[in-house]
Amino acid sequence: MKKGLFFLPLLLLSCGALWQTDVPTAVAMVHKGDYRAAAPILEQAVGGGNHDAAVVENLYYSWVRQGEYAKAKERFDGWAASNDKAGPIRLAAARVNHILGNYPQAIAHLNAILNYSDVGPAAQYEKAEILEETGKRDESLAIYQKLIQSFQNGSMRDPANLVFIAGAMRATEYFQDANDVLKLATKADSANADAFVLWGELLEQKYNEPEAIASYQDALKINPNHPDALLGMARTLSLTEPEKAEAALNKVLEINPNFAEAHLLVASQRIDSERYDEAAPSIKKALAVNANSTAAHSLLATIHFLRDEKDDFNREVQQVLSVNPLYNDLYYTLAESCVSVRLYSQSVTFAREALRLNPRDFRSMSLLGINLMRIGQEDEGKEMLEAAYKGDAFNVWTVNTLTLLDSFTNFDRIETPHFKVKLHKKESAALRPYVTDLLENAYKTLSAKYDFTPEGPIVFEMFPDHGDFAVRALGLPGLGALGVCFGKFFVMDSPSARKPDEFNWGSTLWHEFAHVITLQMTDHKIPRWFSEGLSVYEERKAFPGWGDDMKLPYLMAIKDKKLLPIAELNDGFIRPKYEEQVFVSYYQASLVADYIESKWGFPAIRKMLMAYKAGRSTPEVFKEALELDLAQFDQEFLKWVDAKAAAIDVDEFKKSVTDGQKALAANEVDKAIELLKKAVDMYPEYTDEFNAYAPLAEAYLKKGDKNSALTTLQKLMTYSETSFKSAIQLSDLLEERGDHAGAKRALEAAIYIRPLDVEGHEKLGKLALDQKQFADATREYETLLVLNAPDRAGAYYRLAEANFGSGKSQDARKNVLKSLEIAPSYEAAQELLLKIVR
Amino acid sequence: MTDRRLRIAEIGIRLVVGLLFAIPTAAWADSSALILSGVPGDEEHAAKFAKWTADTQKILVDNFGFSADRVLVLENKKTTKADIQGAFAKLKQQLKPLDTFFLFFIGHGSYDTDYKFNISLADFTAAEYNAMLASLNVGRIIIVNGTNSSGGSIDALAGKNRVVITATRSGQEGNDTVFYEQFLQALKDPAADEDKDKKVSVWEAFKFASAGVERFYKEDGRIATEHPSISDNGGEKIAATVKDPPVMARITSFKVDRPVASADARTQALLEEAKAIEQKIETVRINKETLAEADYEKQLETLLLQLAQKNQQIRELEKK
Repeated sequence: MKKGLFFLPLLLLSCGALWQTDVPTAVAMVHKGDYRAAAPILEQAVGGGNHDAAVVENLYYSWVRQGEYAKAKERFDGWAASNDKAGPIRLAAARVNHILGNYPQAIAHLNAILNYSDVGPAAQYEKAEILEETGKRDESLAIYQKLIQSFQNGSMRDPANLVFIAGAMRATEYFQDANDVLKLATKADSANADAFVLWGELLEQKYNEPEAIASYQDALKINPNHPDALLGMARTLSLTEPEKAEAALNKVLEINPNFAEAHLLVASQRIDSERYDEAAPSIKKALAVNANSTAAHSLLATIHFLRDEKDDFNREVQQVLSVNPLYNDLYYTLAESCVSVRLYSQSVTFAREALRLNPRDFRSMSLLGINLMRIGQEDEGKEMLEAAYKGDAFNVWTVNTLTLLDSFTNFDRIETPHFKVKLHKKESAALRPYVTDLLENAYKTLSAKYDFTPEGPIVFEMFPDHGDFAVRALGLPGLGALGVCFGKFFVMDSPSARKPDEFNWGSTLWHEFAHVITLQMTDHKIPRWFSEGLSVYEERKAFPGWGDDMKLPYLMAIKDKKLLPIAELNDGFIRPKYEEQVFVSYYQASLVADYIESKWGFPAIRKMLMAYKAGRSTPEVFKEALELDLAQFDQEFLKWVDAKAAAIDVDEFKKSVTDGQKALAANEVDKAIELLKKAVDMYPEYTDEFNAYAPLAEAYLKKGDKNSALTTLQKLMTYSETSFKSAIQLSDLLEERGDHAGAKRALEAAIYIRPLDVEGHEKLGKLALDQKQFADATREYETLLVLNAPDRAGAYYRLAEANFGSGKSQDARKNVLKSLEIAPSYEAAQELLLKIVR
Repeated sequence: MTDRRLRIAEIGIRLVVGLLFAIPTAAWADSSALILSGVPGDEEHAAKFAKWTADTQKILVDNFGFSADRVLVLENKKTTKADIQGAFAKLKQQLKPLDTFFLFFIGHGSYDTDYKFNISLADFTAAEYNAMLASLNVGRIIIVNGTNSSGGSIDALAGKNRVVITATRSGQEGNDTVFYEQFLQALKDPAADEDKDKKVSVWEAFKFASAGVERFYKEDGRIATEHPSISDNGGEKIAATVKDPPVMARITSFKVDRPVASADARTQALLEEAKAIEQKIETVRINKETLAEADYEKQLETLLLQLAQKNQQIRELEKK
């Protein structure tokens, strides 16, 4: 017994000692993100009377970072009730009530501890945040300013408080100072993950994504389970590395299934993809944590607006403004979402509203400026952008767009009956006749087909610098697209913006104009996938070879079952999961249009467009127009697509092409023809590099079989929109055969690929002149002169011939003299001169 | 430039042009050429250089009126110093003071502090080539250097009565060049004959070839690693984009300069009248900047019409 009694105090002592030793370890665990293991130890410590600020704070983190808000509230409120002077306890209680939207309770806790030396600054900062979130902007600013003053006058230098100082500076727009203070904070404590997170958020806010990512990564090196760092990664990587972003988001929700901001990020991404039904549950999860969340209600308002549910929209707006009457982010969110679904006018309206609530909302001001430009209000747009720049010179969209606007002095402005066109001075003379011609042709054709007259004037711009095009389209360089449409305004790369034969400017223009039709006729309610699908489908109808055919990546996507269901097809464009998914999605969407037309006819497509205009959802549209639900449609469509690809054995195709080329190189012409023809017959839509057509045509020519070579090239041109050299070769063969109309068509195809190349124009000019098509000939030779074709004397002479043939003797005289000025001995020009003056 | 200096320059140009046109028909000039095709180094270059050499020889003889014995070709291993010196010795015998000599470099070049053309065994420097050229008693020397780093040879080879064309603008442009291929195209393609005088001038060939080089790199989406240059009559090296083409290059043709003559006295008189009108046209063109636009156009139009009528008369007589 004595022995037992002797040991009992020792046991008690050792338990107590053990308990005390575990606390620092548990705190370290929280710092490293091991919340689950740390929480019980810290709970016991705090419950046992350890109210040390670090211990209490880390218990708070270990609970809230796992989403155990209810438990945290219950405990901290309870401890606060019995320890009302315990600053750290009251701070924790305030924080958890803040998270849950219990703002008065949070403020009550904070008011009691604002002047405490240990937690005062933290409490002041927390209070300022709550006041800001509830629309008491001036009171909030006063607290932030006081915090900053304390730092500046030296009375607050504790490194632990630097994050609050930085936060206050950020809130009061002293961004550079906030950056400097965060440098100090992380230098003072390189293991302060929260400081790195705040830094990341600051850099993200100032559009410095690479450094924001680096900061979040620094935080995660310290604490791999830091929810805010993971969320930051999910946001910043969402466009550039969507898979990594998704992984980060999944991880944070694993750690904290109740993390409201994470749910709201998921919801906003679903809204971008027009998957509103899927967005709503995520918003509800956020509201389950904080029923007053203005961010959550803003997203609900967005869904209701985009679905045209006016009463629900108004209710949500009222809900937001009742919590925070100055919550400009409501309208910024609405404005941004409108841009995602191409509702640019509506975006303008909402951006204006955001500014009414907060005239210093420079983000909304920039958005307003950019979208004013998109709806044709350039002057006001520029004014807004300039004001936005003054307020926030970090905004890359603002800076890029203003720089681009300055460059417009280098553009010629041309008006046609339905378009206002901007072409760069260095190429406008050469491009103008073809661009204006095609624009009006597209207008006439598609307006008639869709029985819809688009509202004008429609603005069209072509950029010889791809960076400028990207800025005009998106506000940022780095856009992979060739063209973008905003409804009444569309822009694209000029052929000189890319490598030769990289794209077809004609089909791109047609594609973008088709968007003008489909966007306007549905009041911009057409889903992205359908708009893109119809545009590619219309390319195919416009000109032989235009519009993507089944390229190899698309074939592989079909064979690997990677096509998306209709309900998810927007994601293929906005959040691609693999490198080629965007292009595959364009192709898939175009096949959907082809399939609908083939099975139900074009009227069904029109019917679908009208249903979208009426505000129907995609399932409703398919039911109404095609009498199918989406799952049924997907099933039938995929079966149809699979059948198109079934007969193509890719390995066999590649082998035939390779062996065929080898045979040709070895002069085994008949063998080459056999193999290459097999390849063409198996996979006729393959026209990219190392296609079978070019060597097959060459083989036929070697054999002297020009007719077969011609047929081969004709077939190629029904699938290819970028084979310039083949188009030229085809035109030569057709001309030789006497098929002038065919030769002309082939040359036109060539000019839609390389409009600034002399060769195509020379041939077309000669053809037109030989056929006495003097207007066309005039256009070609004028273009050749503008392109500085080497044979200027020849170009002036032939232009003079065309003038003379059209009965324009004065022009003929002027041009033949120009020819003779260069080449006085030019016999043909001399004869023409004598004819003219006779 | 002041007006006075401008006028003196114009007088100078007119004088040069006038003198060049004033070559008496009895003493017509001939042309000789030396094609140096250096050591290729591998099969691919061997095939390319051999083709360029053969094409150049063929064009000169078949298209441009060179006598076969006046086109000397030294290729590959037959390009030792001794071989080249031997060729120059032969040329010294052949060439007369009014003749034009064409020197073509096909092969590899290199540049350190001096340009070298890669021949069999030890290489000559550019200065040594210059010395050999200076020993020729000849009216005009046209050098076409199609090698990489050829721009490094311009300073040494340029001079009075010489036109030097190089594939590159400096010795530092050391990558393989495509210029010579484009240059051959210029000699073959009628489109290169900008002024439609049925001859390709040195300037026209250079301009056409330069455009071809630019197009080659643009089509491939590559940055150009060669920039053809020309030095005319000892002047600074320039590119093809200059507004006013240099005189000597402009009036020197690859075609052997045999004047057009007719046995028929009336035709001959018309030919001489036509020539006189051509000279007047040339003078008006040179004076363009000093004339009012309307005046320039009127003068030019009158002369062009006269020339057209004169040529029509000549053609009608020739038909008879």
